[in-house]
Amino acid sequence: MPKSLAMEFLGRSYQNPLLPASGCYANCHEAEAWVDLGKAWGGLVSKSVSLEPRAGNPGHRVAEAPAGLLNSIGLQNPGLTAFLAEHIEFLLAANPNLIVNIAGSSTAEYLQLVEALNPYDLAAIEVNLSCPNVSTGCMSIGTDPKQVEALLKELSQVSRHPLIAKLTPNVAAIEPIAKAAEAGGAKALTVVNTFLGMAIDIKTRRPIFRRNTAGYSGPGIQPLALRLAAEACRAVQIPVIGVGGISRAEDVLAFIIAGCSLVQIGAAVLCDPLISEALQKDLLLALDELKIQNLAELKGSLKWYEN
Amino acid sequence: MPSSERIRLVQTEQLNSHAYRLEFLAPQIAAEAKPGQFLMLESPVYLKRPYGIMSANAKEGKIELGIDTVGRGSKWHVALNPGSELQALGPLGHGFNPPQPGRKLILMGGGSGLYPLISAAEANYEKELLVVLGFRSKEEAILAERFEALGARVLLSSDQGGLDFHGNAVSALASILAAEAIQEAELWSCGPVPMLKAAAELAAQKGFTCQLSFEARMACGLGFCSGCAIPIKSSLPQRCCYEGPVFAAESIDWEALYA
Repeated sequence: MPKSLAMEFLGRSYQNPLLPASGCYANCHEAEAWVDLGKAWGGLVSKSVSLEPRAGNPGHRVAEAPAGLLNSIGLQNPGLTAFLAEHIEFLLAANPNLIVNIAGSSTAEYLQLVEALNPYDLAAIEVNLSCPNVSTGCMSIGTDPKQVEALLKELSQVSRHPLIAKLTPNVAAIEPIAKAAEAGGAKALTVVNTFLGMAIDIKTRRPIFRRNTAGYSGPGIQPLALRLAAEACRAVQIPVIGVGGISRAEDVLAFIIAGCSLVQIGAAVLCDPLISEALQKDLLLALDELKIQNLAELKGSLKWYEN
Repeated sequence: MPSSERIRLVQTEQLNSHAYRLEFLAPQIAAEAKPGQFLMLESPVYLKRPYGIMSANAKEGKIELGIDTVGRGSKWHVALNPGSELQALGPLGHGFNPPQPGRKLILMGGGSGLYPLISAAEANYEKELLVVLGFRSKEEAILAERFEALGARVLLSSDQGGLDFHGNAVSALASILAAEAIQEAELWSCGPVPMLKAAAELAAQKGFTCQLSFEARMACGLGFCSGCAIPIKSSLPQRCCYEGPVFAAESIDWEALYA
């Protein structure tokens, strides 16, 4: 019997557990020069869609860090109308599982986005509650369990798609937010978005980024994200997508053992557009070594120490 | 189509105190590269580094890069031993659009911007080429012979004097255009942003078509992250790595670029 990387998530089958992380893969057109989008990924995730077009942030938007990068893109995107006209049909045709990521600056905006997506056949909607690089909505909502629960309650009432709450790591504890999202009706969580960081130009003594701070991602956050994903998996009954610094097959396996159903690849795909294919190959080899037939057998098999 | 290729350093030549020419065996990239395109080169930190392709020889499977030492990545690249192998992604981005037939081609470069202009000159060696290269000093002047070998008329300018023209490249070109009646030309420029802006203004005065090649901090170089946005008039910013690095001069929103 051939080994299988297939995973189940929200009633759908994913041929492998890998998704591109929102914002690190544009709307996937560009990647067609490198991979077959239907084979390289178990599903696709759009870049954050906002109601109106967003120009994104001025000044520098990326800076290298010792083990990753900082970004302050600021949710540049063409807005809902252009997304529906130019991107969604392409994305739906490219892979059987499409997750659309939405970012609103108010409850009303999130509601309009969710409603506008109702006619399409999506695997889920990922609700961005965690972008660190904009002033309204997102992280200001996503750090407050009450607001998270209230928003998801409203969205759940109008969405025919399951909602995934994408959480921020920039909180003292992930459990209250994770539980609030679940209580509000989220059908899954994505854990986590980027960590708030900073870079300084030592010559000008100015922050590199116009907003002073930026989101840090890459291999440096992998252990931090793994901790949060594992804690979230333990705190809720709904499935979790793990994300944060994943660049090797053993990272994928660790998130799955921690309880994640799928994982997202962010910074690593910026460095290597072929990484999803390499990861699939390495995951199959790892299953061999672990003498396991199906990747799904590992899900949630973490044996926590009781302290 | 671009590819991910392991490329091998053949030789490194120091050109001046901070500029180097690196020659790589890179058959896949060499076969596909068009003038003005760039590649992303493996670095010792985390992100790959973007470098304009200076020249590509498909027959020999070789490419040349010009690298100015500015940071950790470039200093590491110029110190590599011949035979070193690095992962590279390329060729990337949209380079120069071919010039209209019958037009003279003016190439103006400064700093690391002069390297991609060599690829532009090589692709257009049959045309009448005027090349203006700006340097800070006489000692920094490099690579004029590459353009001369293609039959180009080359004018070198230096901020500190000692070359053909005392001043920056744009004033050098402006003085030529004031002295000679050059009609029906295209101006292609690559260099620091103030040079590009002045090039755009000069071209607009003269009614020349103008293509500008930009440099930006990049994370992926692949169009994935939107980290290298260039402000564009009446549209969302465009990616230096994907819609660019070459843009039509009239499309640039200079006010937003300087904001």
